[in-house]
Amino acid sequence: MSFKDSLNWINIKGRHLQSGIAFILHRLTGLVILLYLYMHLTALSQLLNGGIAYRNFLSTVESPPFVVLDILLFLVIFYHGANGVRLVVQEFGIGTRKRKLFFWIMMVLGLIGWLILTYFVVESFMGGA
Amino acid sequence: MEKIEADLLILGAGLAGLRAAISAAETDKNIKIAVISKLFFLRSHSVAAEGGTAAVLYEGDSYDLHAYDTIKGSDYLADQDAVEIFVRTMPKEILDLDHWGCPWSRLPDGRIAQRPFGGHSFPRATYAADRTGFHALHTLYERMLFYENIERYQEYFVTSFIINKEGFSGLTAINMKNGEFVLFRGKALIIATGGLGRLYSFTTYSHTVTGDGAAMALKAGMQLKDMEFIQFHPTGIVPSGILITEGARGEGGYLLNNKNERFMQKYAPQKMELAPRDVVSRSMMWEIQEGRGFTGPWGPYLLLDLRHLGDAKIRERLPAIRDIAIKFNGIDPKDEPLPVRPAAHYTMGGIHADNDTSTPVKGIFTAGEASCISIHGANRLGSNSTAECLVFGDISGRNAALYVKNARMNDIDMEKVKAEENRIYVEAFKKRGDETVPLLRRELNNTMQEKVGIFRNEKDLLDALKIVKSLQERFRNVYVEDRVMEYNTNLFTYLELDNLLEVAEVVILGAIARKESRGAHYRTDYPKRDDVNWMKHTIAQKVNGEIQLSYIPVRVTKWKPEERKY
Amino acid sequence: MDKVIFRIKKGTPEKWEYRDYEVPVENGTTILDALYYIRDNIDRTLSFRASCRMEVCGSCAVMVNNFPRTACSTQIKTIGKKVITLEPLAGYPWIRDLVVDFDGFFKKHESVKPYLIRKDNPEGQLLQSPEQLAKYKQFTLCIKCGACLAACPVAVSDPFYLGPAALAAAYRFNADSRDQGKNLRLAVVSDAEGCWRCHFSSECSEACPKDIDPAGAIQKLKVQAAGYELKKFLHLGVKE
Repeated sequence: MSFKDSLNWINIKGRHLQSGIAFILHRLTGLVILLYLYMHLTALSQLLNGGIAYRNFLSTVESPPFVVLDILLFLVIFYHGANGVRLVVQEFGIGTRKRKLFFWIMMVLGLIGWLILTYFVVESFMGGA
Repeated sequence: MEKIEADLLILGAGLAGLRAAISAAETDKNIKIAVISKLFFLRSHSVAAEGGTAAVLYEGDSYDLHAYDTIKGSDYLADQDAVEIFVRTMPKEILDLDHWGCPWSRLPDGRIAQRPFGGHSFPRATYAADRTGFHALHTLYERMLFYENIERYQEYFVTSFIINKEGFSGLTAINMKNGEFVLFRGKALIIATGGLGRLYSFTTYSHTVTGDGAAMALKAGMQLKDMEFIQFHPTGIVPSGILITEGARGEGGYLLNNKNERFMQKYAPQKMELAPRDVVSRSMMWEIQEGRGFTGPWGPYLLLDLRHLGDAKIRERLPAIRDIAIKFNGIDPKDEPLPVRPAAHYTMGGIHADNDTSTPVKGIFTAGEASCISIHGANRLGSNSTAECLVFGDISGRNAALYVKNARMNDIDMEKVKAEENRIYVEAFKKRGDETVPLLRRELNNTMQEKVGIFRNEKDLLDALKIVKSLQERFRNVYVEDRVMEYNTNLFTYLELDNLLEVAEVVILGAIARKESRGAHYRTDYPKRDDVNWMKHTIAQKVNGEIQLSYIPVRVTKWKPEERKY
Repeated sequence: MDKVIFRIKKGTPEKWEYRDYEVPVENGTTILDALYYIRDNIDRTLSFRASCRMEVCGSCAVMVNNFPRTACSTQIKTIGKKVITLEPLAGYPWIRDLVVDFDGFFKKHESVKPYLIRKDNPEGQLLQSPEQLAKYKQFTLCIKCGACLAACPVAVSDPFYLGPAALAAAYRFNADSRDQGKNLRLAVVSDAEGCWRCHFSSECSEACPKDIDPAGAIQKLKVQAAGYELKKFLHLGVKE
């Protein structure tokens, strides 16, 4: 058993979209969220340098490229959340035979949630500018 | 050379082998038991048994009735005292399996369910949907894991029995995983290697059923009994030959010819489709010969109609049949009838053994299809084979365990072991000619199918004998081309072909000699049963390289021979 | 008659290559038929396992274009490709050609105590209604072909994970009304390498040729295992 083998889970060959691919995406999005959490805490720690420094930092990240990144981050979170709710329910042994249908229902709900949020973000950003 | 020692060796891990292992382990916790198979145990052909296991469980049925059905089905060639032991032990076996977790199908009140089967005058086929053998084998395998004194040797290809003057002394084998030579030593051996159905080209058997046990026994000088009786199951699906269980007819399925008639009316007006298998198979072949069959690219066939059972019943009672029809033929049995033709299915004969499963060689026992204790005689009834495996597996395990207690390890003749090692690792690999395993095997299969099938006659049989003899000659020009020793299937198919050629000759010789028609052995030149001259068992034995036939009487107790009508 | 190229991973771990074989294919020809055709007519040194050819013995699972499939029940025409790649099952130690080492698989199966456990010595029939039978019946249909482990992204990354077949076997007995050994089995499977290693990727249920939904069995097992762990944690006295 080598380190290489322990990464076999990431191999998408022979994986089904609603099963294996969904699982790989869930792990990867989880990693992204974890990474973001660190970045978020690092950003908050700017407060230690005083109010002015923090405000300066905020004005940098409120620029359009960062907002686009934020919106993508929401997508990641919505995927992870929607799929996560499905997993929580299914891991109680509920509806395991209907997993594909369940997956798509959650994807649609997640996508709608994401679109609504994106709309508000874009609107407030445009309005604020 | 690796050496493995155990008190009791069990060769073969189907129903009989595993049942024997459990029984031996229960009889004596202190003996070491080794179960050896060329397959992983769950791959044994028992797994393919479908319909049911006969046992007397409920009011209305009786041991005598089951025994009578079995003996009448055997065309009075069964040994009647053996049949009585068999029917009386069977109910306990069903309960044992129940206690070990077998998912028997159930009646609404929670009791074990039974269904009608061919040749039985009471619905006594105990079933687990239509996967009875599968569930029984898995249950036994799982139960076997329970015992600490059973060692498992999976994927060991046994090549010969080593017997000396005192009796059994060991087995030579190949460890299939790495190709190494292995010597098994033990005080006793139970042979449970199953039948020899891959002699035929159209067969319900697994690819791995190649008569290994019978062939090795013959080579070691042991006696084979009644080998000419080969059962053809009426309903092998065309073209693959996969078994469609008799349970399909037990549940009410019809057999139809191209005039859409239930032709069994003519041949067995009372039992119709549920007459014994030899009767139904012959009737089907007559229909085909007289032009009332269908023709297709894979030969003639008749139809098995299940449509009137309805989708719900098919799904509940015959789920595996439905699966097979859909996956392999693209037919849903609720919409279309299935194309079927008789297929080689069972070997009534086998290694000669007594009622206590012991053979004339001291220390060797045998059970299941490999054995011939003769409860099936000239024709086995459906659902009696899985039953036989359980009963005589049980008995052989117990008797062998008791035998082992007071026995000692015999000295082994190392000359024989060395000779066997040489045959496998040197002789088999020597390049000799252009003959190949698949070529000879195909020729053997076609010969047996055409000339030693359901209908036999002197001319065809003599032809077949000549061909098999020449194939045995030509086999000397076959060699193993594959030089990689890990899992060398080329070598295994070579050894299997050797075994098949060995037993083919016995089948044909027995059939030539038996000048009558009885059960599955039907001679068009002698179409009548002849109780005066032929109510006896054929015994075949190799003496100085030649097969010699002799005969022993049938043991008759309560049931005198009568005409067989269904 | 159509021709299909079979690209087979041939050799041993030390020395191997992909070799191409051309096989004539009709309606109804299975992958196993093709393998026998190759061995009988083209390359007699090809090694593969097979026995019953009716999808009940579980011998012949191989990777077919990266998907684990039982060769005997996979129709070539339904794949609809002109080139089909065959490889040994993923996640198992490779022996040669299409043959892999199954010893570990059966050891894992054995470790979950897959047999009926009774505390008494029953006599007579153990009654069980058709409804009670239906609760576990589908999980008894496992043929131990090992396809589920080859499909599972976790099992191919972690050789110690018990895997879908063994866990489904544990659930099969836990759900059997005749059984009395539920907690003995939960003690084994409620473990980091047991049911908690499953992340419900559900690839095992996609791969299962008998459609027994092993992923579903593992999730139901998780519910049992959670109850068992909770009781143990609260010292409510878990009987074993």
